Amino acid sequence: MNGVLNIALNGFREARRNRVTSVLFVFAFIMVFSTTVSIEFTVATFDRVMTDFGLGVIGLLSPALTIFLGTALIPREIERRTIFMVVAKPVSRSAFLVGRYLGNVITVVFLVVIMSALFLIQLEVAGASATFSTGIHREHLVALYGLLLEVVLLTAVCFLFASASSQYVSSLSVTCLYFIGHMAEDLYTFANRSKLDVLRYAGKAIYYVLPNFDRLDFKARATYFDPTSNSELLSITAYTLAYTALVLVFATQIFERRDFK
Amino acid sequence: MTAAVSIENLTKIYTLDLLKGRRRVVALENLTLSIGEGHVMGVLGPNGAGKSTTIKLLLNLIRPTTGSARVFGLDPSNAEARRHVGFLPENPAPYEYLTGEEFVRFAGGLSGLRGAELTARVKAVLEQVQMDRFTGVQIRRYSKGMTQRIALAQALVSNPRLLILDEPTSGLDVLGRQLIRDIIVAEKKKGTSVLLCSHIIPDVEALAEDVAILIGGKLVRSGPVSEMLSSEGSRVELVFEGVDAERLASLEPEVIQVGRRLTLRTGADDARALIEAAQQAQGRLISMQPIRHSLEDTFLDAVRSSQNKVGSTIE
Amino acid sequence: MLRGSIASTVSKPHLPLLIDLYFLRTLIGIAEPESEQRNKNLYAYGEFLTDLDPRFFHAYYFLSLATVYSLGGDKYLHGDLALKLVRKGKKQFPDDYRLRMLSAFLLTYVERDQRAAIEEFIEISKLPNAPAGAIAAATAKFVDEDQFDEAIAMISEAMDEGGHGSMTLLSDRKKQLEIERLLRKLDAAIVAAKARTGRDPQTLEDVIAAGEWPTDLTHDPHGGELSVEAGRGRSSWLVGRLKGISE
Repeated sequence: MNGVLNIALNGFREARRNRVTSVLFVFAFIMVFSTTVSIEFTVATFDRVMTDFGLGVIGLLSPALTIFLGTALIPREIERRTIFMVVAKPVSRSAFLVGRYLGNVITVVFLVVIMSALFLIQLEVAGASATFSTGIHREHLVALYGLLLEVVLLTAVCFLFASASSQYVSSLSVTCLYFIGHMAEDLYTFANRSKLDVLRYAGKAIYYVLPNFDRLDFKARATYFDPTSNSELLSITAYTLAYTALVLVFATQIFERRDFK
Repeated sequence: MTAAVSIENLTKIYTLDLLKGRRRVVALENLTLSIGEGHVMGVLGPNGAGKSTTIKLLLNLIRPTTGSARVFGLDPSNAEARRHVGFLPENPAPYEYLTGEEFVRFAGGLSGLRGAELTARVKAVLEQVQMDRFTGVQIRRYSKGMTQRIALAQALVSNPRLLILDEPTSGLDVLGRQLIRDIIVAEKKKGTSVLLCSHIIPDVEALAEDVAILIGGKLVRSGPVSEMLSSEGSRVELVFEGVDAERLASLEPEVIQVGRRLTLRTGADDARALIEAAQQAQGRLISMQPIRHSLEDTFLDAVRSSQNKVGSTIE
Repeated sequence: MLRGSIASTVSKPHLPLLIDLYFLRTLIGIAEPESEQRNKNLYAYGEFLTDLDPRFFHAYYFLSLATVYSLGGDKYLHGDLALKLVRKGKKQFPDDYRLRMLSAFLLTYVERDQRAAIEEFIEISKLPNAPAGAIAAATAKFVDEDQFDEAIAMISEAMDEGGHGSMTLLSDRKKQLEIERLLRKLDAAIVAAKARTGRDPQTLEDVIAAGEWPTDLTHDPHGGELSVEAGRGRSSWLVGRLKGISE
């Protein structure tokens, strides 16, 4: 367990040293820019535009970062052979993978939390000077929470693919899965309307087997402050954690069997 | 007493998917080997002979096709097997974003060291590899030699009972090589077992008690270094000046003439006669050196006798 | 332009952001000088945005308004497009009076379909918190059909309820309706007087003399003086007369 923690914290240190945090400057810049634009233009839609922009940009950056970092780590360790000295220590490969996973999650969660904080501060500060603003809502926080869960699950999926294949293959696959996962509900509905049994079953299979990122997406709800119940939050949290655990179990199984030539 | 390493009938076959079809590459075939506690085993072999494969099998970096390996009696897939192992890979690649000290600390932490003990060990090994002046510098700024030393430090940090060193002196300058030799000698004195893979034969000859020669994934010779050294009578190399080659040719036909200088090799017993002959011809003896029939010869013999089948076999 | 449904499925995780980027693009479009084409484009943006996000109220509201192109005077273009967008919005927001007011406004001034506009006002007047102006306008239908009692009852009810904005507007309208109700009776009396005497009554006295109007009813309930003008009743309190829709 200590090995896992060691590797996790080292992973976070790696991310900071490699200036992953500079993403935050990009984010801050986009946000300040969009605030200026939206205060200038948006008349009665300030709240809406701020919400969509803030959540939208975080929602764009965080999965991009997750896929970029999550699929690169393991293949890079193997390619550069940095993994040799680590797994030669009395640490199991599973511990290595889980530690690496946690390190990545800490990194991305850290970035999302900072971006969220910037966004919320901006809602309060810029909102105070805008006529049509009602400030921070519970739904903003719910949407941000959903983004955090998405990152946790998406990182695990990245690691599953990266534990078995190259960065190129896995980043492509995970990106596809990300979009399919967001379309899960739609695909399910479409498939159910189909007259072909095959399509109906395929739709259901996709819905139940693939990660359902749609369930974790509350951005559209935040736009209209549509409420989300506590029980739903609890259920998606359980879903995310269970799915993540399952994916990691698979990933470690694959990783344990791999040869590092 | 359990051996530090015991390998039995270990075979590793890689299956490659090539454009022309599947190929099986036999990287290691039926290797049986053991290293007793406190022993230094040198493994010699040309590139692709299976040295690194053997090490990777011992460290669970790859899995055997058949056969078994044991490290302190444990299967390598058990993380505990590596509890007392320090590993220096070939061309080590530590995390470049860390400073030397951070990397060694990280390695120590993974080996289970904590708190004051960890700090003390890190300090000690950094001094041992003479890297204590560069501890705060990121490894990305290190030269090859510095990286090698840091990698050695991380192998030593947990006070291992078995050191596995893959080409530890490659790419190092004379000072670096000497330092690493000294460290291995010191470890040996402490009772640490060492598995030393190298293609630098003098290193193995100087440091190892036992040696195994791998060629084409197979063990071709093994035994104590002393037995591997030539059992023929000792020979000497003589260098003369101011003598005609013809005057000595009757005594020793193997003469190399460069300008006024003659170099010839002969058995120690015949040297006296040669020197006397040269002196009679007004020649001068410049130097006389013993030639040892070294491990290198044994190695070259082994390579030759395996019909130049160097590297792993592809079926 | 991308079909809304395809765009919304493919870009689902980032739909809100995409919509807002389009919305900002549209707002920038509004800042451009007005032209027939620009306004048509704005309409298309409105359709697109509301396809992507059917609940985007301001897209319906702003963009239908921005679609109308004034040719000067009281001539307009693209009223049909604007109304199409508003109707789409009305389906989403049946209880929102703002879109219905906009619809009534477009019907009145751009499409000049007064009857449809009044129908809209009637719908609006049924909504909670309907603006007083809409309720007042809705009574025009009753004026048209000579149902003053119903019209006055509607206003009274709205005044009792409260929450419709300007009370003055409602009470003024009520007064107008009460006076008009009286004046319509006077109109009938004038016609009856003419039938009886064979002459056009020139003054209120003529009608009273003909025995068609009570002697003491020379003022409306709000103090306006009644008179006869060009063969129709008049009150000094009311400027002109209330008209039916078709007049």
